[in-house]
This record gives sequence, structure tokens and C-alpha cells, in this order.
Amino acid sequence: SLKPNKHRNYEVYLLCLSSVIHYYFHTAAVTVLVVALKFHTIFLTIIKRMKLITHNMLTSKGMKNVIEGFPLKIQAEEVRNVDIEFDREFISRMVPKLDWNALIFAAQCVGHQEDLPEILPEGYENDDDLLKKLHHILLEVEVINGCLECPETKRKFPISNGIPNMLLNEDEV
Amino acid sequence: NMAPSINKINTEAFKGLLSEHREICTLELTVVTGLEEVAAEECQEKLGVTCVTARGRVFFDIPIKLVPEVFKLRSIDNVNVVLQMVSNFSFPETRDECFAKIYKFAEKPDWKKGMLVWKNNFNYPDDPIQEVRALNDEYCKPRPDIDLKRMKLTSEIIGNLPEGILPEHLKKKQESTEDTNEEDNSSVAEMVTESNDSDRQQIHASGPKFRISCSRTGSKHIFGSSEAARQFGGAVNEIFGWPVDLSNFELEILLYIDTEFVYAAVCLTREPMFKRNLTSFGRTNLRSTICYNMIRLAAPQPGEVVIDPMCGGATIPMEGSLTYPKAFHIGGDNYGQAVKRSRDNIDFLLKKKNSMPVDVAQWDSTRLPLRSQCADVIISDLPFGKRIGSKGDNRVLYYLSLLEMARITKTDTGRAVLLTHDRNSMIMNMKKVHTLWKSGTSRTINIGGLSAVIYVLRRTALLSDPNLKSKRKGSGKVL
Repeated sequence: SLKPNKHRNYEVYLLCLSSVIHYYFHTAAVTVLVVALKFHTIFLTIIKRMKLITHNMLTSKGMKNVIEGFPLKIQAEEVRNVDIEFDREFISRMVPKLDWNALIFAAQCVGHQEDLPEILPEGYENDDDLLKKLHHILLEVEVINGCLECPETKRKFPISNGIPNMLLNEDEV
Repeated sequence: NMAPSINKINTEAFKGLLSEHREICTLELTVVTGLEEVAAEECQEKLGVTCVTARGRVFFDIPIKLVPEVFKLRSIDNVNVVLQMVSNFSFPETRDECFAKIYKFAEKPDWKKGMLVWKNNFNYPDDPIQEVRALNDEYCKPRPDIDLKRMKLTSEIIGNLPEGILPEHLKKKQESTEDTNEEDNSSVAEMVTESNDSDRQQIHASGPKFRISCSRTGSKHIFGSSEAARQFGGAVNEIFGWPVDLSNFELEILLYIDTEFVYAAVCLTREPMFKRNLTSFGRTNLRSTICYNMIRLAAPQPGEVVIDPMCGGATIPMEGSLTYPKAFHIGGDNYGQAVKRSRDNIDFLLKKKNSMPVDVAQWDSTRLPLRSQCADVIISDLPFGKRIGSKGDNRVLYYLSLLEMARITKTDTGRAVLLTHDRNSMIMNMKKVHTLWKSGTSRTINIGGLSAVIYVLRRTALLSDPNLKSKRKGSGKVL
């Protein structure tokens, strides 16, 4: 089962403690158990995701009285980095489809503004450095827990275990 | 546009069936009926082979050393190496003569070549063919008491069998000779060891444990599939000395009889290939090979965004991210459990392979929380009988979803590949939204006996149609 974030520190302590036990008493059982649990949660958190590329498309426009509902403000409680293979062709073709301002905004929200330029420069498709940064911010930064806030109504859509819940209530449509 | 029946195949076309072509073998790949052309395209693209298609399968010649490449294909379910094909078997008039002919048929195929392919595939340590004996008997002693036990009441050949041998449960049926078009299900011969009065059978039993799986279709046959399997298997046992084992077999030999078209093949897949993506949660998911074929029909290009607005367990986005990693795949479903299942499914695959450009969200497909024109491709297995809000039926769900899909999909270049069992709801709504979605091809497929249709739609140039507003009252009903 998935552990809430605040218990993560306890896992680390338990891991250290069991390593000590293992060292001194040659009892592997506890260590193995804790290591397994730890990796289990790591694996699960790897796929607990909302990538910023997805955020670039999400809106709250389905709500009544909302005009644009974009971009949603990310309030991230937990963010994680993962490794995704860099594909130059993918990134350079994705770029024109992105809402650049929304991307800058999202990057700021999660504290990953890095040095993304305010305006998309000409000839970006030849700028490998920029493409790699874009790759990282779009695909490798994942919001695990937090919420997405509608810019107009301030309604918060929860993100838990990396999945944003965009379902609206009866009175919101 | 159904694929031709297997009877139409020209058996002379395959070099792999001839012993003189030592380096080439003929393979049979099974595919969901209706998607043969798509599979043939994948074979052409990835293997460079030209396929001959028949219902539910494709055949081609391939160098034996390239056979391992075949297992990388995503559109096909099973792989078999064909040993022999006969298009005009000429079944004789009496049962005993039929048995004799089937028995002797086991001597005809190029077993050496077929078993070499089998041995390589499964890394069998020795040469499976250690001895080759001639067949001295006419045929195996028939055991209809055993072999006809599992014949179905719906079998079309019951009327052809002599009454004396029919088991009880089929005797009543013989009185009413209804013609049904049911296929006699493929059956495995129960080759009970004490039958065949064969101490011969057990003396030199060595080599791979095998069983025969026979599939028989045709209303004129005077024998059942189990009976054919018994004859063929008995001969194989006699010739090679391999032991029969119906449950723990290492070698599965297929005998396929369609009217007068008969072929024998050796199975190279222990499990169908669509099982590779499944987790324990996979029971209700769409087969990954069907997912692949649908995605292939949409042909996602590098940098495109592919969305499944009713993704269930996200099998389509998952397969997409594995096979078309240059596109970005997003799945969403309104049902929390399904979304959780998606996560688990993706997790399972991530443990094997790190990089999967896929994301999952929870949303209402009739109110997609996505910017207009952000998607290039929609691929979805549409639900049957789902409810929206407090009331509703499929027709309304499809209508509203089609509108939303149109809104988020790029005009002109955008396309949708949609699978549904509810043909009526789909056709009715495709007419309604024709200003937004242009109807392309439709393919009827057969999934485990149920027929469904895959529609390919193309986005028109029209951004939106004011006549198609999805105005709803609070209850979610469409006005």
C-alpha cells in the first residue's frame, strides 16, 4: 500500500536501523523487508505523476462562468524527478504545440524555472541546450501531490499520487 | 472487406514448405479477425516480408535465422511454423479410410525443418528428432467413446456419424438434423495411454512431450477433431517416439482442417503475445495486440499528442508509449478505480523499461479539461452501457464525447480510431457530428466471439458547429 509522505522519513530511519541490526546480528529478514517496502514505494512513486507537459493542456473551462480557465496554478506539495529518454525530434516537434507562457508559469510554480527564456527564441530546434532543458521540464519533473488552482474561480483540483482529479461537481457545471 | 477464407490460399506460394529451401521456413501468425491487413503491414514494415492473409491469420516465408525478430511484433497473438499445407486433402468415404489418411499424413511434413525452428526458439538442448520410424500400421485404433465425449450438441457433423458410436448426449441430437454453422471447437485428443494397445507407444518414449491440438471446420466430415488429433498424434508418437502429455507438454503440434484444406504446424508461442502487458488487473482490459493495431491505424507521428478520453486501465496509452515513444500519450477516465488500475498497469511495465511518455488523469469524457485543439489523435475503446451523471445512456455519452473529442482535436490533420460494441449508438452519432468528423474506414473485428467495430474518423476543417451545442440541463440531459 502507498505510504503518505510524512511517513517517508520513518522509512529511512527504519532502513538505517535494520541495516545496523543486520550488520551486528546478521539478521537479514528485517532489512530485506524494509528494503522491499522502500523500493515498492519508490516504484509506485515513479509512476505517480503529473508531468508538466500534461499541465500545459489542462484547463478548468468546463466549469460554469469560467472564460479561459488556463493556465492552472500548480501548488505542489511534492515534486519528483525521473529519467526519461531524450528524443530530440519529439521535443522539437512538441514545442510549437505548447503554450509557452503557461510553461514558464508552471516551471515557476514547481521551482524549476531554470533558465527558460521568457520568449521562445527563433531557431530553437537547433538549440540542443534549450531542447534538453525543455525535455527535462516537460517530461522529467512530476508533481506527486498538490493541487491545480483555477485562475478565475480559485477552485482547487487535487493531485494525489500523481493523478490530477478534474471531475466537476453538479453545481459547478 | 473480410479477409479470405483459408481455403483460398495457394499452397504453392510458400517456399518455406519445401525441403529444398533449407534456410527458409513458413510462419503462420494469428491475429484478431478483422485486423489481418494491419498486421500484414506491420510484418512488411518490420520484417520486410509480404504476407498472405486469411481469416484470423497471416502467412509468410522468412529466413530461419530471422524468426526471433517475429516476436517483437506487436500486432499478432500467436506464432506457428507451418510444416505442410494441402489444399485438397480428399477425405475418403469411410471413417476408417479417413483415419488412415490422417495417420499417414504425419509422414508428409518436413519435420526436420519445423523442429529445428522449434528447437532454436525454445532452446531445447538436443535434437528432438533422434529416430525416425516408418509407419507400419494403417491407423490408430479409434476411440470414439473417448474422443466424442466433448463434442458439442451444436456440432454440424453429428448427423454424419454412425449412430452406433455416438455418446449418449449426442444421440438425441441426431434426430433433429439442424444445420448450424458452428465450428467444431479445437480439441485436444485424449490419448489415453492404455488405448492403441500400444506397448509400442511407450517403449522408446523419449524426446519432447507433445500434444496435438486439432481445429476442424466443415459440415461434411465424418469424424470429430479429437479423432483426427488421435490419428495424427498416434502417428507422430510412432514415427519419432515422443511421449504424449496433454498437460505438461513442451511441444504443441497444430492440425488444422477446414473442409478440404489441411495443414500442420508447430506452435512457437507458449502463451499468446497479448499477455505480455497484463498485470493481475488485466482481466477486463483490451488485448494489447488490438490496442497496437488501433494505434497503428492512427499512425501517430513524432511530437504528436495521443489521447484516450475513456481509458479504463490505460492499456491503449500504455501500448502507445511503448510502441510509439516519439508521441506523447495521455489517458483519462472518470472512474477512480480504473484510474488506479492504470497506475498499477503502468507501474508493472516501468519495472521492465524505464522510459514511458505517458500520463493519466481523472476526468469526465463529456467535459474534457483540455484546451481546444491540443490533441492530434484520439484512440479509444468506447464503453458499452456506461452512465453519465444521474441518468443517461450510451447514445448521449457517445454524442457528448464525440463533440468534446472534436473540440480538443486538431482540425484537418486530427484523427480518431474508436472501437465499440455498440454499433447503433456509434452510427447514429457519427451522422449527427459529420460536420466535425469525417467517416473513414470501418473494420469489423471478432473478439472472443463478440463482434465489434473499429471506426477511423478524420477531423474536418470546421472548428466547431453551432448547431451541435451540447446544452444540458442540470441533470446532465441533452436538450
